[in-house]
Amino acid sequence: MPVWQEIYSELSKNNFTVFSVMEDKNIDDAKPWIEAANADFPCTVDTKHIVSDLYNMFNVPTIVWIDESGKIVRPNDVVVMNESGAKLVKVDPTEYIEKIRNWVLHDHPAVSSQEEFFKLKNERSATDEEQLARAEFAIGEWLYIKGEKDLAVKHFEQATQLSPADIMIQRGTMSMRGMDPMKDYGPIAGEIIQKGHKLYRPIRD
Amino acid sequence: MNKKYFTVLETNASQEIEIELRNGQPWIDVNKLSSHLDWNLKPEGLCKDEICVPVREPNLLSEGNQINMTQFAKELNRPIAMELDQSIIFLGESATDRSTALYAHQAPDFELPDLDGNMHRLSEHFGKKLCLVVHASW
Repeated sequence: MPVWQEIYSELSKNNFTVFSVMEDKNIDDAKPWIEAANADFPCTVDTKHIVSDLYNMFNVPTIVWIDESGKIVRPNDVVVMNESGAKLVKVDPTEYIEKIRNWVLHDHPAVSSQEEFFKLKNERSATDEEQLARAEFAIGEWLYIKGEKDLAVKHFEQATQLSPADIMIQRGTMSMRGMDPMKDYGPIAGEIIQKGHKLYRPIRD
Repeated sequence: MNKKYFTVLETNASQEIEIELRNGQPWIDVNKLSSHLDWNLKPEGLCKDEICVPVREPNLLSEGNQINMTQFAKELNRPIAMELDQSIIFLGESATDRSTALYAHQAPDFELPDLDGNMHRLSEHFGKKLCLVVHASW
C-alpha cells in the first residue's frame, strides 16, 4: 500500500486519485495496514465484501481503472507490488506503474485496443455458482458478526465448495473458520490449482 | 400464521420484512414484495420498472397473495442463501445483471467507512482518473 501513496503523491495534481478498500473481517485486522500506508486518499474497510461482489473480484490485490466520466476503462488487474508477489503473478509492478503514469499524464489508452478491453472484461464473467457462493458468504458474515460462529462456518464452507478459486472467500474466511490464512492457504491453493482452477487473471497488453 | 420479521439482505441494502414460514419455505406478501423489493407480480410476469420477466413456474411462485422467496429468486436467476432459524435471507444479484451493470454506464457505486468511521462514496471521486485498489490483510 505505501506504493499507492507514492503514486498518489506523484500524480494527484494531474486530476488523479486512489480509492482503497480492504476486505477484512473487521476494522482491527485492516488497521495496521492502513496506518502504515499513511495515505492521503480514502482507505476504507469492507467486511461484507460488497466491492468484490459488485465488481466480480476473486483475489487481492485487484485494481480497476475508472476514467473521468466514471466508466471502467480497465477491469480487474491483479498486481502485487512487492517482488516475491510480482513473480507469482508475473506482472512487473514498475511497468504497471508506468502504464498508470502514461494514462494519467499523456492520456494513453487504458488498454491497447477495444478488442483487448472486451477480452479482459469477458475473461472472468461471474457464473451462477460463483454468485451463489457470494450469497452464502454474505449469510455467513452476518451470522459471524451476530456470534453464531458454527452456523457461519457452515455457510462459509458451502461458499468455498461452490467457488473454490474465489480467494476473497477461500482465504478471507480462513481466520473465521479456525484456520491460519498465512500457513494454511498455501496447501489449499495447491489443491485448487491441481483441480484445474485459475487463481489469478494474468494481465495482458 | 407464523409470520415474523426477517432481515432481508441485498448486496448494498438491509431491510426488515415480515415473512411467513410454511413447509420450511419463506413466503412474502405480494404487497411487501412490491414495497420493499420493488418487484410486482403482473399477468405478464414479474415486473420491475418497465422490465417484465415471464414466470416459468407460476404455481410454485405464488399462493393466494403470497410469493415463495426461493422460487422468486429462481425465476430471476438470483442467488439466495438463508438461515431460517436466525430469520436471515440474502438475495444476491444474478450473474448476468452483475456483468451488465459493471460496464453499462458508470462503475458500480458504494459507500464504506474508514478507520474513524467516516463514510466515503466512490462516486464522489468521479471526475478524476481513479484507481480502485482492493486488498486485504491476509
